[in-house]
Amino acid sequence: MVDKFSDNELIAKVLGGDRSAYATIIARHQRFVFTLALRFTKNREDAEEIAQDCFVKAYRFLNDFKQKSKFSTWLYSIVFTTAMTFLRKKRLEMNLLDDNTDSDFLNIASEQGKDEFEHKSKMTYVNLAIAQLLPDDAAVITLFYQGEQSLDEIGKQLNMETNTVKVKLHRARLRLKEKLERLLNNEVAELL
Amino acid sequence: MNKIEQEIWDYLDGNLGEDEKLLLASRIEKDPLYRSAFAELNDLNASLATLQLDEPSMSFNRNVMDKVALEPAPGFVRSLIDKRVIYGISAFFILTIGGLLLFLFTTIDWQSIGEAANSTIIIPEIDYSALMNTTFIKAFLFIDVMLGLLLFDGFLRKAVNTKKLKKI
Repeated sequence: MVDKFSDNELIAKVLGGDRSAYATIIARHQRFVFTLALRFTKNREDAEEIAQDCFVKAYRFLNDFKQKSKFSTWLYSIVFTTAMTFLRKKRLEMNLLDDNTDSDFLNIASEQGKDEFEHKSKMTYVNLAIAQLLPDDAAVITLFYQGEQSLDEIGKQLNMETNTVKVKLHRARLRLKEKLERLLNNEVAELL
Repeated sequence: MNKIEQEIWDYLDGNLGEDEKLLLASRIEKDPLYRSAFAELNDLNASLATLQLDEPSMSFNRNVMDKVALEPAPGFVRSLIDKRVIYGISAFFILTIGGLLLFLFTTIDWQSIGEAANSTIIIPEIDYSALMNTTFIKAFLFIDVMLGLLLFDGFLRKAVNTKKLKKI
């Protein structure tokens, strides 16, 4: 069912009155929408709330989706703006998580599960490093790698020029690399 | 970010032209500085590309569908207002005006117009008493009120939706 119809076909069904077709759209995009929301909130409960809110908003304004871009591009732009509004409401400064101390790092690690932290695989470190990035840096990386969105599509979602997104992505990866190196250095220091 | 890293990221993202790509590939092969930077960034790139997505709770889909069930069908009222009602009102006026003009043109005495320069157009008298009965006026007012309410409803919904869309 999930792969049988394209997003646009499912949207046509929903607009034609078949509300249950929307469940397939949710099933198809929920993991990415949730992951993207998690990049902003760093908290599973808030991310789930944002992700649910995004799907409800998308349903409400489904008629406004003109199919000029991919549905995912439109949906992710809703995630971005909803998450930003959520962060503003919570009065979280965008640079709040930029200068995480070791204790912050441990908090994030414990939130992602002790087993995962103990496992210490490369992926875990990459995930931890992403969690320490600024929300918009983490979002750009997530959209590019996990959302498989082009720079142009990310630009549309974030309301930015393609070149600006390119620079932003480069900088985000640079910061990610630095965070990753710092995490690994801490690990080596602990072992010594 | 240093220039080498920038170049390598462009290479990995596929942002380079064919000539630039070949040039950088040869640099990576020959220059140890480029080679080590490439190995490091390529590794990070591969890790990022294979990251797993997080899973929301098991009840996520059901929770969203429960909320969706409380929502009106998307765009139903707006499309009704935008197309049917607007076109209906337009058609009503076009038909009324067209019918009136047609009636006038078919009943005008065209021969008398050309006879004298100072001649006047004689508008035929219409017997309104046959049309303007109580039932007609009530029906007319009822339709007007209904159209007015529909438009007002559309206006209110549009205002609310615009407000919500601005938030998105």
